[in-house]
Amino acid sequence: MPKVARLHAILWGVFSVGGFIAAFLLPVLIYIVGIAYPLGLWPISGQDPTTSILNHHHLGTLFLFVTVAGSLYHGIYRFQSTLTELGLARAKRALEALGYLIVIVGILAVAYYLLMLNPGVLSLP
Amino acid sequence: MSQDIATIRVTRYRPEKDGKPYFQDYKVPYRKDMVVLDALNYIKANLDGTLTYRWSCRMGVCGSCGANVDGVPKLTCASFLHEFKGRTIKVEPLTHFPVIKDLVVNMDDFMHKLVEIKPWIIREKESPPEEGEYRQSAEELERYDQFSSCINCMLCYSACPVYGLNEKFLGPAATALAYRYIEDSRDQGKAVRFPIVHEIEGVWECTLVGECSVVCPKGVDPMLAIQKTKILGATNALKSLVMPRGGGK
Repeated sequence: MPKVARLHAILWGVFSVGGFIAAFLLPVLIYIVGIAYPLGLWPISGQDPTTSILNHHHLGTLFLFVTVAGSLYHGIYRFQSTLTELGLARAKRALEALGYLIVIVGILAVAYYLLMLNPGVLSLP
Repeated sequence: MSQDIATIRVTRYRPEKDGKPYFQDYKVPYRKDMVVLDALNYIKANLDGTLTYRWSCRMGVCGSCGANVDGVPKLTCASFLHEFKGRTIKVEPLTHFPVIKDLVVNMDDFMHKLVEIKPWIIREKESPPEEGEYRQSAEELERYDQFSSCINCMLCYSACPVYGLNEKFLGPAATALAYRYIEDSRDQGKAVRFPIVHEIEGVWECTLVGECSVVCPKGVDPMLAIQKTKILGATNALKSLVMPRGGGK
């Protein structure tokens, strides 16, 4: 009897939302950090964009975390699809495991980094 | 009307005789209004009566004359010879299906999948005809209309690399047809179809290549049907997570 793959469905939902985030929020972050700030277009003098975002509001911390974590998860899910399309059945499991390890380390690292920069976020609201 | 000569390179394979498939070339005179299927019929009638292929309506409706024409899954009745002028036209059986003979492939797996998704209107309780029709508005029809245009030609399966790698994958046409009934306001069979389309080998295997929608000769967009079915699955799964009793049905 066929059975609904609920975990697959939820993971796909997260991937889908991650794609939305990667498409809409990541370009904003890249523009602020990679283009506007180095070219002197960032309007707040004496403070780098990341610090400004974190200092301004707790939502800034959330924005940075969601953007990086969502994009990383979207990336690994898409990487899995690419492995399927390439027909790498044998290497797929090992490469997937490696990819997920990188993503988990990346998400934990960004969470740690943001908490170190803005410890007040834990005492919300 | 003037005539040109086309070179048709056809895959030949007779399992009882041949160890493996091989190509055979035929010279076919053609006019501007002739299609690849006409060329195959010419070969069969005049050059080689042993050539085997499927066809029926010759007008893009029956879906039986699909083949790889010049490497692309197409209906041979809708592929004009003059479009390949100056080139040898390679005609091969649809990929990802076992070949029975020449251009004829075994459709059993596809037929099984079609039946599996229950392509008919399911009602919890059938009303007697005296109570009238199950009425539907134009907007309700619009939701599934394009998906009901599928002619089961299997070109989408031949174009799908995921089906080529995993034949358990439900695939484009069967999912599009399932979605056609899921979206039909008269249908009450979601509880029966969801486990079929939302199982691991159902829509989740799709990696969004999109070739199924590119090759469809009837303008059906199976990739869209798969994506919409995925959204339904993800929404239901989240609902069942948040509301374990009664959510996600």
